[in-house]
Amino acid sequence: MRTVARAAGYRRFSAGPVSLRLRPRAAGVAAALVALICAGAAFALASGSLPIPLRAVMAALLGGDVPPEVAHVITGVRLPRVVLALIAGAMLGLSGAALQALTRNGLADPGLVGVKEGASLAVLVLILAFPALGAAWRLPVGMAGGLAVALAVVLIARDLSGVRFVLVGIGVSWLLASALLVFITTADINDVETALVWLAGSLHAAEWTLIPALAVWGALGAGALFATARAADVALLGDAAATGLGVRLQRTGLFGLAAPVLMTAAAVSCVGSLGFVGLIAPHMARLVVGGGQAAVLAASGLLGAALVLVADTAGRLLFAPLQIPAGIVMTLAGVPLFLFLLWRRRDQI
Amino acid sequence: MIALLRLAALALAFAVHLAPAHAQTRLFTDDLGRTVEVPARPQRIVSLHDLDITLPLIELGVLPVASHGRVRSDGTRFLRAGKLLTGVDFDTAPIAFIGANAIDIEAVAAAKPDLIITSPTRDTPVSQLERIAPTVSIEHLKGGPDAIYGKLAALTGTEGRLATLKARYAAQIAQLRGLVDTAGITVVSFQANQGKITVFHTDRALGRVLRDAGFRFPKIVEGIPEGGRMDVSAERLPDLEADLAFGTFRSDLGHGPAAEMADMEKVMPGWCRLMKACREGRYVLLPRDETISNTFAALNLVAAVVEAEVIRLRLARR
Repeated sequence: MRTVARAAGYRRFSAGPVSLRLRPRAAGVAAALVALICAGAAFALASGSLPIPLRAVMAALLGGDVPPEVAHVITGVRLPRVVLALIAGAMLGLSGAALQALTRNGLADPGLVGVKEGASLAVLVLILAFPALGAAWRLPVGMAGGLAVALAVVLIARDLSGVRFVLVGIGVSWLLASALLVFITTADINDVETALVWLAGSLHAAEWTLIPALAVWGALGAGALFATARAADVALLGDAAATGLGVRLQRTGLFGLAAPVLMTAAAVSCVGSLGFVGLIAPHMARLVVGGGQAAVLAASGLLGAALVLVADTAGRLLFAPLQIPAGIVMTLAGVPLFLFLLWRRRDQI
Repeated sequence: MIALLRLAALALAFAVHLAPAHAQTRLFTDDLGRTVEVPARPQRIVSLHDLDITLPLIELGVLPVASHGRVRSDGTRFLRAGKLLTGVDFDTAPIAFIGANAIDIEAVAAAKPDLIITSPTRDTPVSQLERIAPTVSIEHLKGGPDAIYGKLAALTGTEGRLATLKARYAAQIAQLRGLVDTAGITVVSFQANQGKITVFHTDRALGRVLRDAGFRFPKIVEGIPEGGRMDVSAERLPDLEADLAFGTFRSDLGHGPAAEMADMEKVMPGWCRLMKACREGRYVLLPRDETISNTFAALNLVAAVVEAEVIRLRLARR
């Protein structure tokens, strides 16, 4: 057994009575990703349309004496945007990894069960019909929309992981996408412009009011997924084998669905339809880290955070003050990168 | 010592003289129902909608320091219909560009505004904007020029200028109504829209002029809620018959009347032969930049065009 674990890249680290078994390569990749994210966040904080010297950026972050507009731009505009990108990206990455494991389908993403469209529709109604309500309302309203759709899919499919579940999810997703198209082709052009920017996935409405609740849902979802990661690994062997090995499939499936649904609905409510992250982050995670579900979840979360941060920062800065929604940057740059990664590992997929 | 006291008194008097211009504020209730403390005489306005806020401000004699705009395919930025209707654009006036569909909030802050004017459809949170400067939201899709200009004039203290603009437009409408019995003429406004025909109840400047002048509209148009639009298929073309039919072409994209005719052909090949108004030369194509604006400049232009067309129609009927 020890030899098998060693061959898989695991090493044992002991400190007194405590010992830990992990893969140094995976840990190294995770550390590199964290370093990359920190560097990206620092760059995003220091860059923008309002030229602010690095010293003033630091002073604003540390509560020093800076002009009010500088303090507002750093702590009220850039910092919440960076934090929101990281949290939402990580949540979408985790959701994608969980749904792909649950459905045993590499094409699954958080949009699979219509959660993305449900949350998007609900938030669009809020934005266009109740413009006086603050951005803080987007999270509860979007989550209600996303959860209602997910519940409808589960009730219709009466299944949490099989083909029926996937097909019902795709059907409901298309139905809601059609409802969005009807709106886009009939609404006033100004409403449509607003809707398209939001639907493309944009963090320009980032505010601190959105972040605490989003972080709580993210922490709950991530906790549930990591807690059931080992069971999810075993479940990949098939229902009969997993049941024989003592995995409670019903409970694992429930967590495996509820957590990504909650996290996707919450993330989409705050940043719009950035669902593509949930598709590519898990694949990238498997390519760069591999291993069990816990490792894929961790790497997928980190890669999701990095992808959204890079896409948002590029969209914000490249043609400033023209703002390109992060979702568009993600699609333009992410797809070729994704295809390149897949091509490099074409024999292992 | 006396000289010093005199100097101090002079400085104090100067400060008191200057202070009211900058410090005086008043309350303004915007279209989101928020009551906002705004400067009595704002000096640095940032506008978050070019066509419906920036252009009216310019017509009222107030030049915003920064504005939302559009971007051409070659990357150049412009105020939609800005140069055409007011002569003002980003390359002719000191107006900073703050973004197109999505607003760059930092560019707004960089403009150091003392008043920000946004609209309810703009998805930049008011809570973000109001931390930069007092922010009011003006509904730009309902009520037409009267509503928008009334609020902007109240905000900027330019009611006198607005009265002049209104008087000129009222005189033009009165002249039009004096020339022909507008109630005896039916009019309609529609445009091709991705294989369908979009019909308007009141299509901005064009619709406003037609309604203010007292023309009649086909039943299908009167069935559309005020300010609304309806997409219909080519089958409804007979319902759109009128003495004068107006269409618009995308002048903002450099297109001409032929492009709109081609789009209508896609809706229904040979449509012009089927529609009497078009067949008999009573289908009038106008550049969309003028017709969709809410400015008085656009109203005046469209009023003159409509006047010329009804005179032509009357002569043809004789």
